Amino acid sequence: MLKAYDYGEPDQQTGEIQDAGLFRKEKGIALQYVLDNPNHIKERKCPVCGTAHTKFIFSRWDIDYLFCDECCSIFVPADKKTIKDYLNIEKMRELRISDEYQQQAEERRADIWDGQVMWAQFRIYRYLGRNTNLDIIDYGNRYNGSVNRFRGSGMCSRYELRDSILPIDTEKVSRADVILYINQLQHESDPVATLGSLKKDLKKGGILILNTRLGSGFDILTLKGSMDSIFPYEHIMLPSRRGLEMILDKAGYELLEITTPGTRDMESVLKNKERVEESNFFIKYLLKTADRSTLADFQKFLQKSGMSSFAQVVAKVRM
Amino acid sequence: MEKIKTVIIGMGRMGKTRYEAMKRHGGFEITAICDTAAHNMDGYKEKKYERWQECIDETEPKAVIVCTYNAAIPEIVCYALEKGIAVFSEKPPGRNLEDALKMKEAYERAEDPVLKFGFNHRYHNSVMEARALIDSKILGEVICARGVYGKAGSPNFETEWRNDTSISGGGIMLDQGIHMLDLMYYFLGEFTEIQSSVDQLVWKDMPTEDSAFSILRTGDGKVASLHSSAIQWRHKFSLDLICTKGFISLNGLLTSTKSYGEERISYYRKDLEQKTGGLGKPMEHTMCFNEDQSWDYEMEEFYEAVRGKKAVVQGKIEDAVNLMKMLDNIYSV
Repeated sequence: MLKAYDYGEPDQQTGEIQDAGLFRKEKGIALQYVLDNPNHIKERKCPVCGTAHTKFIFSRWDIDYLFCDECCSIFVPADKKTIKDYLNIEKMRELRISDEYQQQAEERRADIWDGQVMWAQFRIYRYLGRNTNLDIIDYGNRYNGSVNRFRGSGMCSRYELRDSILPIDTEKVSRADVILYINQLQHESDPVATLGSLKKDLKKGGILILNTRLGSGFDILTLKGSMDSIFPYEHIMLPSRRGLEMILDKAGYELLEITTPGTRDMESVLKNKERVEESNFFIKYLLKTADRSTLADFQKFLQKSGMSSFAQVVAKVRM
Repeated sequence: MEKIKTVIIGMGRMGKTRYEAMKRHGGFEITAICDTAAHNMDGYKEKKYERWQECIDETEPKAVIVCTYNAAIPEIVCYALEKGIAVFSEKPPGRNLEDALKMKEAYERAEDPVLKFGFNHRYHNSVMEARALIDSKILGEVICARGVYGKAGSPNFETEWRNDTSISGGGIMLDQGIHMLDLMYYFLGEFTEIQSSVDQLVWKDMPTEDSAFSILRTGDGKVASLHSSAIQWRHKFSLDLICTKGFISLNGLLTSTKSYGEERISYYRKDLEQKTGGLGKPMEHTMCFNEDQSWDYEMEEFYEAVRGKKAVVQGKIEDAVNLMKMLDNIYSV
């Protein structure tokens, strides 16, 4: 397997990627749903590696997040129906497809999406030897700006948007050269089965491109329940890097590469430094004494070592 | 898996490296090894020869791997090709252009010949990634390059066989700089205008150069600068590729000694609107590698060529001749 790491300059990060007001609304809707649908699942087995050796790590809105002692993934043992219903909350859908929401996303995420498309063009060429005339299935993409960039990138012969809240008509693709599975794993209660089911949609030699938040990232393991951006049932599956490798292996994929180019761990912890546990002396000391350059180097180290909170994966079906 | 009956001529460091790669591959049946220095074959179970012709004639292999001194390469390659044997030969392709042309003639005379030269740098991960970046057109077209390939020298550098002109044909440029020249040729094309300064800057009594600077220009105006050096006093590999819409930098090279530093490729897009960072600081992406599979990829390509499944793509005789032509110019300017 090709092992590679990818990083950018952390001090080039700009502001928040979400509008504060809209994000509050999203969380409000999610909170109401959680209050109306508390988690009754008593099962504590890790959905990634299957071990029963799991323990409580934090709770959010009275929902327990568990940490797997074996593969170090973080998860909420929620049932499929609860999650499916959460993803179909009409009020949430209306908010997310609204012009205001989409416009804010465009303003804040345009560079991220541009980078994502460029990265996809590069990696697709690396593994398929071409990056044009491709049949692409994009799962769950909920941003017009992102959809438009992929469709307009010159990569697609046919592009199908599946399982998305966006009211966009796209072509049908029976078998794809490339499946995009971006930020979808986070609300999967059975990631192995879900990724396994995608294999039938890939052409022979086709590739899966998957992006996800990781549970083994520096920010979440430092801030735990104090991380505002992690909440139920939007995030119920946060695999570790090792856990992600296990998911793909169990689902029948050959991992071509996994990189952790997340750039925001340190920034996130820095913004919430008062929430870092008092017993975390080293991190407290680091945040208190390190200059910006040291913190940037620390973020680079996290990225290069596979310990940032965001992973990019390219995989193909194992023969 | 089809086993290809193979012999290795020359069991020095490169012969041993190729031996290991073939064993890992599994598709080669190494029936004999050959070296003029018997001690180089100690510990190997295969049949041993000290005369390469005897080795080839008696074992009648389907493929031969040539890892000898530069001076011996052309004769062995031509002999094997004439007998219809597939040949994989170490670089450089002989001592000079004349040697390379001799092998080309033998290649053209042979029926369905397979001939591949070992330019393993093309199979390094950073180089393959650079090739993908360029071919994907994301960063536009490569228009110029800057390369440094430097060695630390060694206590007995002057007396190494590599610096005996009669055996090697040239110094650091031919021995190591040829890899950098090959990569520049790979990315930019053939250089038709060459200026150079080939010198003995430190080892003044050595018959070969310890430093070679070259400015090279292709027929369509792409420019490159190359410094091949035995007086870097540490190992160094660095190749910058300037593209019309971005920049690629290869630094370090993963080798068995790990002495060239971490192998990595960095790239960024031209960003005059400062979308990804401040002016002069565009968002840069870096990939690092901790595995060197270059020997294995190279053997796999040769294996498929011998089986007749795929043509040789890297290290073709045409490339070898072009490189030796450019080297000839570098040395003669």
